[in-house]
Amino acid sequence: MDRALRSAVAALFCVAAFGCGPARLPADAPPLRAFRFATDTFAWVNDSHWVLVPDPASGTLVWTPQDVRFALHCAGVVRAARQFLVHARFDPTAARVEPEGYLALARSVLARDPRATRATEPPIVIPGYRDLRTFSADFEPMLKEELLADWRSVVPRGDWRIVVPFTPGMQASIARTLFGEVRAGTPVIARVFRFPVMTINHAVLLFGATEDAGDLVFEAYDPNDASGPITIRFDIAAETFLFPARNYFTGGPVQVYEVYRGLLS
Amino acid sequence: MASCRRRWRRAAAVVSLAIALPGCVTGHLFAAGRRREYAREMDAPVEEGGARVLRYTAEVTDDAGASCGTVVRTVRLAPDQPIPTRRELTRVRTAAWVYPLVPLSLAADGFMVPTLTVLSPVMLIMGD
Repeated sequence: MDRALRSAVAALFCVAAFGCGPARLPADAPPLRAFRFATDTFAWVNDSHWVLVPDPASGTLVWTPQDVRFALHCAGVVRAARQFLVHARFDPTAARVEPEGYLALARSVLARDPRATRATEPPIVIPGYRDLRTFSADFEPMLKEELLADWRSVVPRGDWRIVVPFTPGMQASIARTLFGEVRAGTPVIARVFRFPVMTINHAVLLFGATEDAGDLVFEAYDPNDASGPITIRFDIAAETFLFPARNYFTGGPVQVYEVYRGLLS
Repeated sequence: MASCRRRWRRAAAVVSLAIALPGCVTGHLFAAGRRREYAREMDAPVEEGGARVLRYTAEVTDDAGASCGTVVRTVRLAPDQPIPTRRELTRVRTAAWVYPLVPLSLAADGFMVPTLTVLSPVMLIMGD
């Protein structure tokens, strides 16, 4: 019994160490098409309960509360965007169906493996729409309700990693890994945070990577901004990621790691 | 007697694990004391004691990017060494006050790491 228990624990550690391997790809599985911001993002955003606005009196930025309903779902939105990229195919030439049909199709997409970065099953066809941007514009309330109902996406299991500190060397290693993955065509969902003072706890989807003056520069889909991609820089000399100023963050150094990849992340 | 030895071995194993892992308390202690220095103003190199010395002023920031003031640094240059760029003078270091606190933080990790290890499955089971 003791031996069986030890074997089970050893197996768990092996799986944890090497990640949960993706389902075996069919030999003829097509490569994942490139993520395009204009078409592969949602038409609406994940809101923040608090935003930074200029104070008319002092000119400085001050926190102001917002009465919003669809918030705290940054990870859910980027997760869903990647699920649509990997598991769905939009067919604008096919006849449109009733809203109930689209709800069923969206649920099917969101039920697929959020950690898959290549399709392992035939895609779910969304008829009558050319991309996620136009589809999500027409079904904003429905899709938001689906994401709100999925309470687990508020707590991605990889969030345990936030409390265990990263050294600058570890962040450099992560930056190089993310750079390699994104350059190989894999859109990566990344947790962006500061800890223990959590001035930011966010998730973005990295889909572009270049080198600039020795730094690694990532192009990212910020689920709180549907107007265009943002740039996250990894400063090689200072060994830190730099997140741009947003209406929910003053900008500056952050810590980053990949989520929705493997058993423990 | 044998059970007592086993207990000590277990305690030693837990402490070893806490030290080997990037313990939460110790890691956050080092993060709190992490300082980055960015060269802002550089003087022209001068000859001092037969060597070329470059003096520069660096802005010091903490791990979250908040300014902690400035510091004047000097670097000795080899005779034929070109003047380094500001970027090459960027430094990441740990504040000296961190090290005396490390024994305390390791002791705290001896309790924290096993506790977090026990609690982590909850997150793994419930999380998305």
